Amino acid sequence: MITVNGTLNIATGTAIRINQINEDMLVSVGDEFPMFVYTKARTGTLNPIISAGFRGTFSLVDAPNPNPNSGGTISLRIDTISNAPPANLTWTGANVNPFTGFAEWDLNITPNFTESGSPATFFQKDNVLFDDSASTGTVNIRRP
Amino acid sequence: MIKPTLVTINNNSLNYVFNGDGGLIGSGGLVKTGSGTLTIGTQNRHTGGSTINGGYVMIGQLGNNSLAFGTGGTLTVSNATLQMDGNPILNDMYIPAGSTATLTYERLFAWNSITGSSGSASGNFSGNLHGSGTLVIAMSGGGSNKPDANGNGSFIFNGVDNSDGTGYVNLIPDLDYPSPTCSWVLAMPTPAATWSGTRDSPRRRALPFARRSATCGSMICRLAPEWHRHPYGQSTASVGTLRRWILVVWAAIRPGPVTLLMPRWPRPTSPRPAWERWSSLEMC
Repeated sequence: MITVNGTLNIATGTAIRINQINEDMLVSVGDEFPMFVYTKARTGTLNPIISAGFRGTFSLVDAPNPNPNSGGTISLRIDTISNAPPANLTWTGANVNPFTGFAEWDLNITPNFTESGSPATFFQKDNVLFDDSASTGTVNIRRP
Repeated sequence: MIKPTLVTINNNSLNYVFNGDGGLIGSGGLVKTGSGTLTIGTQNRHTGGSTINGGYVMIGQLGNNSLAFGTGGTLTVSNATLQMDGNPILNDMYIPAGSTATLTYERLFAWNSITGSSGSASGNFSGNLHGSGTLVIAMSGGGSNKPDANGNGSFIFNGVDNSDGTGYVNLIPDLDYPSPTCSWVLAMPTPAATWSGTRDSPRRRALPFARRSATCGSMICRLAPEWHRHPYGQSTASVGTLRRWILVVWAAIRPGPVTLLMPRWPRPTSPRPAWERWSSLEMC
């Protein structure tokens, strides 16, 4: 959780990334997780880009204190969780991280896979195939 | 950490390396097919087991790794080779009937990483051995350096479950550089006793190839090319000595038939003779 001593401004284009630290913890639709505490006002958008390692939709919920400009709490809410079966992905390794020099297998960040021929990222529980069609066989598995 | 449902590596022309600070978790599994190589440098904690149905899998080449195949499930190996690093493997191992699993230990790597002294290698499975297939344990030479000619090794399974068949274990000290003093110890606490494939006498040469059944009490020794059998059926005095030695040792552990397999004479040098071309001398 991030505490802002003052006004919190969530600019347009802000990206929020959710990493599930405890993979054994069940998450459900409607769960809310406090992310920001601010002490004065909140400005900007409540619709940033939110991504996670599992397929779903998310939103931010602002709960300001009753007195104006006296702060509040913004929580992340899980709106939907996909019930679709796992995707079947094929590794391409097409995108090399310029900082590490490796093609990385990460959680819904780098499109180093294809799904039905289209670039795709990996979500938890997907099936993955590594075959001879990839551009590299060096797979850097990242810890989120 | 990455939690896939199923990871399939089906490679023939492209070799794969799994590396990085992450790893596989969850209840999923890993399947390797094809003739290509997979190097596993990640520490994985998946519990769905791993199936190696072909090719070559190297573990520990990127650091000691007991978690290459996860923390649960069975490691099934069928007609594939695993290059090990000597660290304990946590999984049970299953070798289906009619198939072979080969575990190789590179002596130089073992020398650097395990003992640091005598050039020995140790393998250890903390799980059980299942299945009716053949397990081959081999020690190979060390890269560009000359291999240590005095290696000794031990290979330990926590236990052997023969409920699903009669398996075999081949102990091969060094395919390319037969060692005059190499010995192996195979320890399978249950139900088999320890068997030591040590030196013969009087020439004090190793038994380079030995095959042992864990249940039926038979042993097959595959002899080095020096132990050739003459085309006129001559059995040399040293072979006779070897035979007596084997019988004494074997009888002290488990009575049963013993078979010597010897290369034909003149022995072919290249390619190395196939087992099927060797003549046998029953010693029951």
